[in-house]
Amino acid sequence: MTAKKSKLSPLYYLPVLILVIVAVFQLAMSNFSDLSPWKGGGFGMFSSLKNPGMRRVHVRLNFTDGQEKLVSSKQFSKMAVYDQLRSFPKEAKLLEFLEEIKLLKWKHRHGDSDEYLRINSLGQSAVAIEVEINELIYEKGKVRAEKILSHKWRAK
Amino acid sequence: MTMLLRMSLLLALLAAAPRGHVAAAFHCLVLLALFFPKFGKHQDFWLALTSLQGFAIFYSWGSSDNHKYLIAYWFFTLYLALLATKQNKDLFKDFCAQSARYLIAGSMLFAVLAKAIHPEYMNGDFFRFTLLMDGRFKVFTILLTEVDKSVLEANAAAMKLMRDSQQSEMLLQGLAEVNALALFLTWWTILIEAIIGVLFLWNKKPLFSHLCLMVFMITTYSVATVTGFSLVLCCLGYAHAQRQDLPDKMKLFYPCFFAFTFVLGLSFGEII
Repeated sequence: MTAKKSKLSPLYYLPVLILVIVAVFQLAMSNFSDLSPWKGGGFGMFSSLKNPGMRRVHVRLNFTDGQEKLVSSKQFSKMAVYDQLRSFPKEAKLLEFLEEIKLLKWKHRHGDSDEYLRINSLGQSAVAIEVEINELIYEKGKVRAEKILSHKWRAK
Repeated sequence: MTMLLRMSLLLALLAAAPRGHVAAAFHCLVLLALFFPKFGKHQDFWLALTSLQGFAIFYSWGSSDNHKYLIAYWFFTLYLALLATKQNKDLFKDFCAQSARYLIAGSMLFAVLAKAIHPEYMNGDFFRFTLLMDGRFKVFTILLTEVDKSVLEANAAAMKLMRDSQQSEMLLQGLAEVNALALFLTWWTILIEAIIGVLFLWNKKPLFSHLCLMVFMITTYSVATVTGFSLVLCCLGYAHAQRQDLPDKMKLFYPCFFAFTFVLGLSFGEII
């Protein structure tokens, strides 16, 4: 190093000090809670299969006409709370997600299709919603689903 | 404006900006600094970018990628460097070099620690699964193993069905074929990250340190296309390299790789 080290302010340690504090906190949260190692500043990307893509969020809707539909996750992919829920699945975040789903309106994509689309103003609201989050776990050549959280809501 | 500040501004423009209103403020500030370079040389500008980046991370805490944090630490470094060195160019470069050195070492050593504490990484399962399921590794897997494209497509279809339905179990095909490559990648990745972390912390062999970092960047970002991480490592690598006794052409690897990252960022997996 060609520097005149004596003149250099020790402030240069500050960014790495913050890095260490955040990373230690993230490691604790990802090992003792459900935070994904891929997120949160612990540099655990490509270290674990506990990543948001391995968290399956299923939303089941019931409508006034008695129909029950399982909605594709791509309907929620642009919602920030959906990303947060998959990165760090917690009860409070699940309730926040549920509150956002309550505001959405739905319609059939076409004719006989089972697929429901969210739309802004037209369409019908769900009268009951069930959200379930599963962790997809890879072990010995198999992937299996294990339930982490679930919540049911019904309109009064 | 120095190369380092230009690279950092482009990093802010291309990789740091979050979504929504914060992104608009981000883009506005960075473009102003590109048009009026004096603006980008002021410490308050970097404090503003650090604050915006910090706000974006805090706002979506838990779902922010790790490189977004590293970018925030780097912006904070630039703020502190401009503040503490009072526009003295040599001191500014030394400050950035030292901070970059510790940030590279810190991020690499924590990456090693995270891998070491996860049994599914250490027993090779992580890469067995990733080689067969991650679209970014598709070309790599087809070229270096005997796995056929149809096997990868069957796995992807089975996973899609599992994600979109109530199915509770699926079998992965092609495990035996990727086993050797998965074990090689497991040990290669953790070893090269450990070597880089230790070398930058030790700081006695700059030529070897930078060669390892370059090999890591070329091999990693050719397959796992994480553009933001590649760009911030280019800034950190260049900040450190410019105060080392290294050939000038070697130092220019970082700005060149910064530009080349966008070619690597193309998903070759979709071509085959």
